[in-house]
Amino acid sequence: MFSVALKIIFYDKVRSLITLAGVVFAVALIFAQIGIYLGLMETSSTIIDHTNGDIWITSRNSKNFDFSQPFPERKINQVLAAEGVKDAEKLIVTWGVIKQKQGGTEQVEIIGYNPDTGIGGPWKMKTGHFRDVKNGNYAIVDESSMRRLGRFEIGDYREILNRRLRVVGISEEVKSFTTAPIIFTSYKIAQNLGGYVGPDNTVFIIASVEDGYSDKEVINTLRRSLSNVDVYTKDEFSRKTRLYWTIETGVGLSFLITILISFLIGMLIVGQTIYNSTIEYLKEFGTLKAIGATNLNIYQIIFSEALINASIGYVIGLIFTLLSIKIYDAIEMVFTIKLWVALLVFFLSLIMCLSAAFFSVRKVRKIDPALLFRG
Amino acid sequence: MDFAIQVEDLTKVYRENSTEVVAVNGVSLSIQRGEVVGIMGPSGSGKTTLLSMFGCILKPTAGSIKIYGEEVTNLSDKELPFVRRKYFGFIFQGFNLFQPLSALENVRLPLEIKGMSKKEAGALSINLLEKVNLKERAYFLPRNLSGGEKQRVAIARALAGNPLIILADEPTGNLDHKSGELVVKTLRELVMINNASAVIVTHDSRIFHSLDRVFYMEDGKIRA
Repeated sequence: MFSVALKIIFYDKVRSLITLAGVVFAVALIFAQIGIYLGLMETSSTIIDHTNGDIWITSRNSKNFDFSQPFPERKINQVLAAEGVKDAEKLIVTWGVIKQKQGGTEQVEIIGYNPDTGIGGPWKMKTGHFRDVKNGNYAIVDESSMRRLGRFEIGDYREILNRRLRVVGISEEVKSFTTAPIIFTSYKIAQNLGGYVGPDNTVFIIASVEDGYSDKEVINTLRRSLSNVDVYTKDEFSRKTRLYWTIETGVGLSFLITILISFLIGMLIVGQTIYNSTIEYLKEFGTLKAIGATNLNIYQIIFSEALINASIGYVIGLIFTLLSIKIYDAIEMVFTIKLWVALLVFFLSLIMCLSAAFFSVRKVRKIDPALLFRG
Repeated sequence: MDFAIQVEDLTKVYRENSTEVVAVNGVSLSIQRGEVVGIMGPSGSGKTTLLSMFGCILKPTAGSIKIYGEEVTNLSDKELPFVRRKYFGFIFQGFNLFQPLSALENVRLPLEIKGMSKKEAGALSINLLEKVNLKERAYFLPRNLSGGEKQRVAIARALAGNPLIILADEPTGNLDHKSGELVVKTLRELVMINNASAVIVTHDSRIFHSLDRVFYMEDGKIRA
């Protein structure tokens, strides 16, 4: 029956091309939506994910990495004193305004880290080293910021919150979910820039766990000993940040709706064309039933048509998606495609085409025998 | 007596809203093994409905049908395909060939449905196409065959799997005289070789001489 379906597909070339176009369109759109969504989510927690350290301590009820409130930095002493904590480091995330070379301003996200350890700092440098921000009004700017901030070179000066910082390094791969350029500087400079953090405050404390202790044990200890803060594992805080952007901002829902619409459009196109094909061959299907084919035999032909369309359409859609990655790179957009995404989209395209074929199955089940005898 | 088909008081009533149409009205007849019979009558007389009930495509409203002594009247929709597979081959006025499939593939398909391997079914299909003088057209698509050739492919398909009963609905209806004669002659010969029976619904008086018996239908009843 599979070969019959294949023959039908290759015989009706125009209809098959329309069906394929529908599947390819739907598959490529679903890939694009999932890829962009995952890219955004990856970006939203990229600094957490790239920071060494097992436990994140935040102010009470912090919802994400980008907009956490400051809390007294002296709490680091309690953290360091807690049983099972090997080391701890402070990290500031704040917001500021940078003056553009050609006039005007841009909002920037400022990360202040300890240049001695590099914890929370840039993890991949194009030029310079994370330690270069030590002992001075220095900054490291990510190369992805050039689109917003204009070209900059090592040695350039930029004014952030009325303080002139010299660019001492250019990092890579640090794209911000909020689209605001990210500027790295030392913890001390970030603390004193005059943002909302204020002196003697930090935004995060990142602790690493001593060998022989589990993250859970140490987290419980810290929760008992610290007040007015929340304590998470690195994965928990990364997930919390992603979930915040996914659920609370509605970003996830809008992606989900687009995926659903793509799925439905694909299903309607495939359903329509397979239905037309079934109607065209209704007499022949009826004839097969007359000579002893069961409904199942006919369903095999129809579902094989759907499967072939889904598989070919998926492969072409996947090729388009892989080719489009270069376009996303060119526009500085993070696009993530993983094996599980490829498998999920294949599964979705199968479901899409098979459910589309159900419209036709009903028609075959109730073929009017009189149809067979009409000349 | 070896009866291929026996029907008793066979009735088919179509109901549409409150309207009832009696298409076949209390038909009783028997067809013997090896017989080639014709059913004639004006349009709307119930010939095709009767043929559909013979072939277990349509269920009667009342009466009984026996195929080679086997009562099939009350079989379920799941059982009927197996009865059709076991006993029947069908020929239609409009040929009903799958356009995307070659002549060979059209003949091979019912054999595959009957569970035969592709290789075995292919060899048998070539043999059947040879019997209807179409071996050299085996790989042609239906669109490249003449009407007579298409009907001969349909005959080969109907004979695939050696059915004991061939049911043909206006097999010469779309053919010119010469092609029509060739089709009926071929059908007759192959039915005889296979010791099968055939029921042919026809308006074509030119094929009378090829039939053993003719039933005349009018208003859903068989006239003497």
